[in-house]
Amino acid sequence: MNSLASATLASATLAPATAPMLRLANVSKRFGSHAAIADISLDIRRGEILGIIGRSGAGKSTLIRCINGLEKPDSGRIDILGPDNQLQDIVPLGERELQKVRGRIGMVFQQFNLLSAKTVADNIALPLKIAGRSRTERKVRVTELLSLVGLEAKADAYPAQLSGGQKQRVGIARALAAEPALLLSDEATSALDPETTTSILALLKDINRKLGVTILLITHEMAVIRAISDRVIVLDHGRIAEEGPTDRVFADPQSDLTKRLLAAVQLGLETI
Amino acid sequence: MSFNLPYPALLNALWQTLAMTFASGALGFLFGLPLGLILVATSPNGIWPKPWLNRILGAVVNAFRSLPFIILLVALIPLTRLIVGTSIGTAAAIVPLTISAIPYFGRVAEVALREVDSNLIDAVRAMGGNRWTIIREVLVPEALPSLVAGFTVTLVLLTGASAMAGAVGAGGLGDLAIRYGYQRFETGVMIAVIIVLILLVSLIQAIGDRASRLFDHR
Repeated sequence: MNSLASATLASATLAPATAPMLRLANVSKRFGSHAAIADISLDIRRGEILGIIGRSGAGKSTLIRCINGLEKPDSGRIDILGPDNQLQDIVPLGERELQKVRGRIGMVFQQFNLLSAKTVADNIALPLKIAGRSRTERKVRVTELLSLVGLEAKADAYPAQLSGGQKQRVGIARALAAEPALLLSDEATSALDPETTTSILALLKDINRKLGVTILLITHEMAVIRAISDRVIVLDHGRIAEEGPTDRVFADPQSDLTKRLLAAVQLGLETI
Repeated sequence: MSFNLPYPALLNALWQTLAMTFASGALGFLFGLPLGLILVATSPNGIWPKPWLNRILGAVVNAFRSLPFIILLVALIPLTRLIVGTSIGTAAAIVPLTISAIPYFGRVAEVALREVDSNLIDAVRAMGGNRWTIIREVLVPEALPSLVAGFTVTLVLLTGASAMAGAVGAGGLGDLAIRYGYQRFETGVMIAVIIVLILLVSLIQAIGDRASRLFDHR
């Protein structure tokens, strides 16, 4: 028994098969006297779609910026599963090491954030260029990604020539370019009409199922959570108000905020 | 008014003006763009915040920009002599023209670069891009239409400033207009120079506008 305990201790840094993709432990971040997020602890399991919902100012953006290291939390640990299958705390990392970590995390934005001076193909290729892949490799991968998001015909178009939904498809293709294990979606559908929202959410679900990409979905819309999330965390004033499987939270909400958010749901979206 | 103009002198003056404008313009771009990038990068919200460097650089730029060109032209004679070997002639005038073009285009570039949506910078940082990537892939390409428009304005300004370079024997259209048109009362030459200058500036502006639109995919 004793030897087993010491063996476990020795391999403590090696993540077991059930290790999460991402683990936040007591993460806090203040801006001046305002606590953007306070003592957040959560796990994102490998392969799941975790929805984080909250109203504006709830700390969603700060949370996502801490996860990809664009903000340093004041305290706490943020462990991300590395390519070596080990959890690595990114909080103490320097800028250069953070850049490597960011290269393994894909990100999709509300306002798409595509570069207007680059074609669709060049936008998608940018993360690969940053990762130092060759021109030939980039070309092959971009062709794959374009067909994944159904925009084969738009390779040479500029973002300004695309509709909102098409832009977000490019944004998703770009986020997936460097084959990240984790995809952060920051209000990815909030600038889109309901119909386009449904198709983008279907694409995200598809990516999650086919490629096994873990998705952290940040939104202020309950309908988005219901459509594709496996689990949901409700964020209120920088703290976790409630968390649980999506079905349970929708059927039996515990916190007042969750109840209010549910009451406000526009029931326009079906479960995908 | 006769059309019996000193065509060789006019042609020669045009050539001198073009040489001064485009040589100092090119050098102004070459050094002004990095200056603009440093001004934007070192600002408090920039990608490389260095407030003290930003303030010093800004003060130096302002100092050079507040000097009237004719003063700069004379004040820089020692520097010109050091670089060109002489302080007289077209090549010599390129030095003070360049020195005045650098801070001017530097500020123009700063404004153009600052207009780039900071969300795009965040997006590229989120992909793991470093500062150099941000400059090469985001700041410069996204600001390019404005940079080209600003460069056009700089060229037009240099065309005007080069007229004063006649004071150091640099020749050029402005010098011709003063010597023939003003001092010798040859109104024909004056009008010819004005027409050539209008055509030149219009051409620079038209090409600049076209180029700016060509790079604009917004």
